[in-house]
Amino acid sequence: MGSHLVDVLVLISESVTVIDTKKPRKLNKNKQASYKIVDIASPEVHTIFKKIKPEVVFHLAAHIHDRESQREPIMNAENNIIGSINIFEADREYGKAKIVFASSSIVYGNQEDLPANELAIPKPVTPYAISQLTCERYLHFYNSVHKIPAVVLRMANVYGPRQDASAESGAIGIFAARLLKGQQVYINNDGNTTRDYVYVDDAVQALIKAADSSYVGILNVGGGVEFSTNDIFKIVREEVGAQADSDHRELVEDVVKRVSLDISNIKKELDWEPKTSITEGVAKTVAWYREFV
Amino acid sequence: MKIIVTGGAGFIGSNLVDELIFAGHSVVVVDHYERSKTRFENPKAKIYKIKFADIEMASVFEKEKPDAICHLAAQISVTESVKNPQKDAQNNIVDSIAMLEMAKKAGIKKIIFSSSGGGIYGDHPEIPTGIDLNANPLSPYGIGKQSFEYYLAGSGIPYVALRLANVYGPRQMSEGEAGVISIFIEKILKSEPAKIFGDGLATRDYVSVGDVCKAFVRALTTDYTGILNIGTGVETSVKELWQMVTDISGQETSVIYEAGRDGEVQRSVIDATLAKEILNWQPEVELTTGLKLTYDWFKKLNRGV
Repeated sequence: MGSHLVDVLVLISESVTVIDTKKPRKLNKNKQASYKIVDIASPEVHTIFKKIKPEVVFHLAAHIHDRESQREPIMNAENNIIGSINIFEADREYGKAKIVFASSSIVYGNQEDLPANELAIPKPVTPYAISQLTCERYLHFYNSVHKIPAVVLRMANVYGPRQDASAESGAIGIFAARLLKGQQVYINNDGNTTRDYVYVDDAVQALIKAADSSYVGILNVGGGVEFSTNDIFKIVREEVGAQADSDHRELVEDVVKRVSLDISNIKKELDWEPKTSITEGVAKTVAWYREFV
Repeated sequence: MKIIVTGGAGFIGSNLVDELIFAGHSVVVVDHYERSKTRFENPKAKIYKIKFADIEMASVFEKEKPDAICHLAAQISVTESVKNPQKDAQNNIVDSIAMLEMAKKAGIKKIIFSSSGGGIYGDHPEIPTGIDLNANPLSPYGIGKQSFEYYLAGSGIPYVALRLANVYGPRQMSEGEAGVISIFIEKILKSEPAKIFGDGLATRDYVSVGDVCKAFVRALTTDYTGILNIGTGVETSVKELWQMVTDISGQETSVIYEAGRDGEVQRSVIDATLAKEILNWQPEVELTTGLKLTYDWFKKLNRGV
């Protein structure tokens, strides 16, 4: 999502500085942006903020693998909590620029009332979900005590071109890559686990609108439609034009069974809504994988 | 029951160690002793002078095979957490997760966590504040406490997180600014003027350490897993508190008012109804009684008795 955001930001901003632990892959790199290869928890972040004095901070860097966070909760917290505080502190010290934070809809956990709206009591289950919710609370603190304007966007599963197909969260990318290569697709457990999916260009528009708006607080960003993993498999297979069936394998249970987001608040507050349907989005994603993977 | 008390040399921890031993439990103290004076060591407790997140903690679990943990070790200053939120989070979140991971491997059956009502609820619209699972703390200290509650809930180990009101009593060191009562008493005993930050109208719910320790002991044997508020439900302003301590001392006292501090909460008082229902716990020590007890303890300490 970060690289897509950068591609749009360079067109509309004076300058764009990227902070990331890794150098961007060739396809993700934008020549008009400057890249600082630094861990977000590093003291160097302060030096960068001091020099650049950003007007807006988009905070997307996180360890995002839900399952892995269960095995490595300390690493996850060091990255996502300690690292995020470092960004927030640098911002507090050098200019108190607006922060737009990409949180995750996974913070809702298993809700009884779906679709979930922003007032639902979060029930984070995995360390990743807890770390994201904890960052949201820090932002509330930075906003109320240090007067840093902050918008928290609780993102659905973001998908699209450039998504790492080995990432555990990107079912669409994984299915597309495997089907195109003629490899067996495995669906974890019964495939009835649901998520809300949002196309990356739409998610980027939400980030930009959040930065432009005077709104402060939490907003859901999603497609507003709930799809099971089985549904997604069928949609991707259709687009690829493959015949293959998926195979189910029993893994550790999906701790969050259903994610379904109420996106009425963001429509109202930011005049944002998803423009890309799942079939269009999957078509664009598959086209990209065909070309580049 | 065999119980590990992290932070067992601290203010609440050392009182809890005594209470647990009195109740017939066997107690293992884990504390780095950097903040604490050793004079509160209970001779019947086994003591490990390490930090609770150190790798050695795993061998403590292995050797001692405890049934339960009372996790009290923490960065305890709200003001410090505002100044250095990363340090607070490292200690109160990341290190606590490290301990939790070791506890999981060791098969610990129960964890009682000293969480913070005052820290988590911030300036809450509901007064007195019941258990709010969606509160927005006004300090990193409160956020860290709240965050670790989620990790506990996700661990699968039965736990009780006690969201404590403002705890006071003997052995509370006046260095920790959590202890306004200790600070007031020490100032009076030294005949120095005390400081009140803000207008003195900020209120707190002061609960005696003895009552809090009883809540911990009862929480060890409950089947309930989750969060409980521990407080008196009585709101006392800093000004009133100062007057009460002054009256107990019988001295001429003076006070200076200074500007309020970031992250400081205006009103804080807790509704502990659920703790009464679940633990059959309610506070027994009236504030005036508890203050007198604390005052006398400091007076003795000052005389070197």
